[in-house]
Amino acid sequence: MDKIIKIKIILLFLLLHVTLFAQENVVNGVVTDNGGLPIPGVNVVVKGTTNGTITNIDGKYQITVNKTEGEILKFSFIGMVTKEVTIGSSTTINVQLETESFGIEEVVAIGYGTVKKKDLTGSIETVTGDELKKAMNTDITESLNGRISGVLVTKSSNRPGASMSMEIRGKNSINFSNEPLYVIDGIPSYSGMKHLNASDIESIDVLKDASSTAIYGSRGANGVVIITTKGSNIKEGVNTIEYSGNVGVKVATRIPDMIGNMGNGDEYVDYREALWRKKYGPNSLSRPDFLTLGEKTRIKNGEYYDWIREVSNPGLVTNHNLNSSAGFKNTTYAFGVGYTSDDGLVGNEKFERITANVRLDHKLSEKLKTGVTAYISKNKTNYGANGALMNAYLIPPIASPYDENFEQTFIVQPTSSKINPNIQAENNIREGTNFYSNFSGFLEFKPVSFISLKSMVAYQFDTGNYGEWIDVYTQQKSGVNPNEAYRGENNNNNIVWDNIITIDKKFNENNRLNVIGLFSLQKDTHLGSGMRGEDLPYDSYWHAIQTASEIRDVSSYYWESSLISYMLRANYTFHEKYMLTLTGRYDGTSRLQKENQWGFMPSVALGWQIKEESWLKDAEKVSNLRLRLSYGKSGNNNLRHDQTWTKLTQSRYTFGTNGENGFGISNEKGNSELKWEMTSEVNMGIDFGFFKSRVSGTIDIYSRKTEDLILKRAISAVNGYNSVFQNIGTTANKGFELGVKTVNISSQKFNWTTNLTFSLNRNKILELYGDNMDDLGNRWFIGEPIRVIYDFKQLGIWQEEEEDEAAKYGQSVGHIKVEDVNGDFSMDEKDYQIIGSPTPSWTAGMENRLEYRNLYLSIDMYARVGGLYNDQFAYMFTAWDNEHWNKLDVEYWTPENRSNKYQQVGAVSYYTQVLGKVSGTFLKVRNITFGYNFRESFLNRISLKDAQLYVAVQNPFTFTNYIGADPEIIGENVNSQLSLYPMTFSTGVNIKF
Amino acid sequence: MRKHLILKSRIVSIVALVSVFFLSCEETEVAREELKFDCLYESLETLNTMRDTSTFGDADGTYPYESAYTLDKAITDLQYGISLALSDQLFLQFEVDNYCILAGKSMADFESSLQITLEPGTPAELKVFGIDQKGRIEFGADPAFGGGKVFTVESWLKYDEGFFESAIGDFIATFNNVADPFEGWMINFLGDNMRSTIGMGPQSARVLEFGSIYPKNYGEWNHIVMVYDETLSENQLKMYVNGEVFFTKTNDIYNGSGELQLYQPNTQNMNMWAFQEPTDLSRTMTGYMKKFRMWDGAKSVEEIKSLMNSDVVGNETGLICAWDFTEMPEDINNIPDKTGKFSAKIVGKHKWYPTSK
Repeated sequence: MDKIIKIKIILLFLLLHVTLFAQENVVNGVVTDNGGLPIPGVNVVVKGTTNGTITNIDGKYQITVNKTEGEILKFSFIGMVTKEVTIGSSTTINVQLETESFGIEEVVAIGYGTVKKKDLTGSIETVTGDELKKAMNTDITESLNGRISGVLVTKSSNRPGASMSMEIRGKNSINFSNEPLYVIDGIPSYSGMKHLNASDIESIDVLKDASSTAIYGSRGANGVVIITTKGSNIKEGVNTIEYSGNVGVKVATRIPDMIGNMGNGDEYVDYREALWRKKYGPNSLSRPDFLTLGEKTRIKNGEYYDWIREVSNPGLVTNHNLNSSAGFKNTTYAFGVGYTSDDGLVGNEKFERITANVRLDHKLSEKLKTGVTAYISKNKTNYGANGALMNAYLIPPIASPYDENFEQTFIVQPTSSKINPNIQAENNIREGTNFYSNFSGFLEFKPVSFISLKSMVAYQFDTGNYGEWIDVYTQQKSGVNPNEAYRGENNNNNIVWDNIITIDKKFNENNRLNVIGLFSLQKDTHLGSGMRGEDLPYDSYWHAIQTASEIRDVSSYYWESSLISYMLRANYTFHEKYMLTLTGRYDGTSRLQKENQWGFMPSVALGWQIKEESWLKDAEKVSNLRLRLSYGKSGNNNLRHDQTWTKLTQSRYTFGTNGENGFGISNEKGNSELKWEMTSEVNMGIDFGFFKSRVSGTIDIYSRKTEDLILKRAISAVNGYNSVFQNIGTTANKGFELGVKTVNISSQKFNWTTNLTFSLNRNKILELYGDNMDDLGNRWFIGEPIRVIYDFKQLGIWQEEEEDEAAKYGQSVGHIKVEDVNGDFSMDEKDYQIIGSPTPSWTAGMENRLEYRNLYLSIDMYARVGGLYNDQFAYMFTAWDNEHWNKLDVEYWTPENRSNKYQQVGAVSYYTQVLGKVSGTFLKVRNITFGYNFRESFLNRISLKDAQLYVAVQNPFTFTNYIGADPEIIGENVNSQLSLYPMTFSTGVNIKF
Repeated sequence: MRKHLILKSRIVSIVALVSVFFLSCEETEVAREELKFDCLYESLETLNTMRDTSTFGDADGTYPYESAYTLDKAITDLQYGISLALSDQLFLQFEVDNYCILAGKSMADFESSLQITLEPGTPAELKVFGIDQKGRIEFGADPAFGGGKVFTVESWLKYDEGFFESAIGDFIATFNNVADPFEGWMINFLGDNMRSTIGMGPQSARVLEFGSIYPKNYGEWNHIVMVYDETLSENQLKMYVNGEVFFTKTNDIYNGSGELQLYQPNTQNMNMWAFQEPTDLSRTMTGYMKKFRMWDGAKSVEEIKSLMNSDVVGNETGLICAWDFTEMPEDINNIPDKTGKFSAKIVGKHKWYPTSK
């Protein structure tokens, strides 16, 4: 022991010697701010090492370095721009740090150009590619929820590759899509973002207010999402190769609690007995189908099956990306390839995506520049079988998936029609393969330094095919009917030619003018076909439909539309304080008739950089303060290409052996006077930064009105038609949005930052048909949101002391009690009322990031509050009292357990639809990531620029009252989309060479 | 070494904690109560008493000899059940109860086999044993039974406790759920409710169905009426019990395109049966029927109240068919209706009980 102590003392002395020797190389100095005032607490670190110190109260520092010349000192302080200084011959280095105005130096895509955030006049928010990567979502669309205020992404399911829809600032249109326009590297599209790989994205800018979206004119009313792929901003001499990858295991979480699951089958037996006794009387228990011999045997042996867990399997999620970029004197390039694989939790559900992108820019001369971009993505989705998971929910634990040879058996419950979900998952195959490509090329000519002429041709092509195979041994075919195959294809082409003139001129020091003029032509074509075959001789899936005994549902289509646009936008900045943006777009579309096909969509926006005013400029606590005010108009071109036509409809008449096709005038009269649904919006925003930008953010309030809604109006049949579309309705959206970034703690070793977003939108129908009347049939009510839940309102469950009162309504104790609005003791549609709207009252996202030395922990949360949704799952599995199936284990009414929510088992209560009306409130911890950034000194040794290792878990915690799996996908189709809620454990690495 | 031990003990602790956590997540199994055999012995005693005290023969007031054999079989079956129970081969209480229920059914069957000979024309009431698909009334097959856009079904019904025990207790129906779309109409029972169910289309597999808690006045007659009137904009489907509105229901059956679906009369087998559904034979009930009428047209509440207390002769306007089961018929296989157009037959187990007119 003594020996060890001695060695330690010797080593300590040696170290001290080295330290004492190093003290001779001391660098010192003072760190000040813009005003020359000293800044205490500034981190001063020798780059690439952990050697560092902080400035004292006078802003002074002193640091020892191994060698003086050539070392780099890094000065960082919250709210200031980090500065690096190479140590020269002098050992005194005084540094002045510039105030960092969070985000305002960032460049934002505004359509046909960019602008510095500090000059922005509209409401635009940005999410970077890095943020999208950290979110770890296969579909980047989902990542915008809670990261950009005003955006609401709705997932259809948790199955891999499930579709998503996005709304920006609520619904405007009643009849047509409210999906925003996606502009990928300048190419407008409605194909969404499922095909994009987060690693290929530089940034996504979401244009929200009408003054911003007016630049896209007739397609801007629902907002615009501008996606910029990597490589758009490569600097000369910067060469990078980056690999990022992760692999994870996905398991089901929050599995809904069915009666008798997790091995407690006796609970189900008791439930079934109670159900039969109540529903059919005690004598019904003697029926042979009450419990089959096999079921009784299993009950005696305690052999129970948890069907949901029987059909679910862990899934593998993996993602690999390689990106490379380089900047040379005249040429820059960026290249990326990516592979994503996302297994589902049931059967063969799977999503696979391969992506490749290339961007090449070349300067031919000082005045001439050219470039090309290409983005290619192929994905294949196995959507999973219809009904497999639904069967797993329905089949009770007393049924076995195995036959006497312990093989999976088709009929698991002879007393019901539900077949083995494992076999259903194998034999009902639904697959889609999609291919997306964007190509563009441009030539840019700068005759003088402030004028640019750019011509860009872009081509977008996407194609998809969908196939479905329904084998004989499926739920649909019951093991006896012939097999069936369906095949469908679609093909969309979109060609755009944009010609842009940009004038960017600063004159008289204090005036800057940026003018963009556009002439654009666009044509899109769409074609597709489909067919269905029945009774195919062998398992050829959908690849040999010609062998089918019967081919039916043969269809094909083609349509095209085109758009011609002129646009002019002028940004004028005075004294870097006052900004004015004027935009006008004149669009002509083939989707409307000649008289109405042209429309002008103007906007005006003002910006005031208050911080730059002399009376605020020196206010230390205010680092940024800017006011924005805008008004604009934009249209919705999402109407059908044939919306104005009166069409012939096809009928098949019985004639001869095969019948004959015939055509007749449609019941729907075309209206040549239709014009665009037009949205106008006023937006006021404040961008702020306080305490050296430790608190910064944006507040927006808006009021939006959409007029001339295209609505179907019923007309008297004496006109020869039943309905006609007219521009007659008006809707409105008003809202409030907040985005805040805070630096809660900042020290040399520990940092804690928080990003918060909050969105609130109120949607309302202002007018429908001009007569101030509601449309009861369509559930459209003036003064209410576009989508409402209009139904009975549940008051509770009829209790024993209310037996006499219940009898007046023809109801029993234990039945669902609903409100008799008109008090006539007869419950019918006259007692329906608006009980909610399937839109959240507000949403919020919050991300906390904690950093300790090189370790970091990020916690991402998302909340939706309010909203009442119609949920088929909650309804089916609490309301249905099928004598052979299972249901959710909730508090059903019994004389002992006087539940006031769920009816008595087997009572056959009416008004059970109220059980499907569920609250959409939830709080999710979406992602927790714990990572390590390798030290610079280590990276230097192995010639890496950056390396990061992390572990992450997605969806670890969800707080909600929802009785289904995932409250974010309330309302999924139980047959084709029903899914389990995944929790994913991943580990990944990012390496930059 | 010590570190290893500490590490190992920590791993063991973590595993133990995790195991405890997961084990505690397992739901506690429901503790089964001890089986009660009392009803087995009580039923056996009752059956034996019946067997020992009843008179068997061919004359009225006696039980037929085959009933004795049936009773013997019921006793044997019950004894077998007791053997199973005592040898722990019955696991759930309902299995024990089932033997008692079967014994109870045997007793009821035996009781109903008491021989009573009624002369044709004797005032009587008809009980049809529909449960277990033992009996039904067939009114024949005719397109008129399907009903049209407007029709009324009217009948008198009496039942005892436990009068249905299959999926749906069907009283009277033309319903056909094998057809696509569903066709026909049905008055039926389920859970706490007496309901009307009508097939709607052209969309596949749709019904307009509603009900209300059924009268619990067991052993008493109820006048039951179903009215369908497609010409109305609301409350197209109605039921009346004893002249009072039982429920009204507005047609809210729409297809995916928002098109209102309409009633689809039975166009295929066109059967009209009582106490058993003509297509799904498992839907049965046991009860008494006094009178049955079907009308082409929608009867108002006043008309219904009037009809409740009056008879028809057969030539009333709008009367499609009418039967009175109030006296012993000449031929149960040919019971003519009052309009003279149709003939009904009673199939399977039924019984006529004498009444005073």
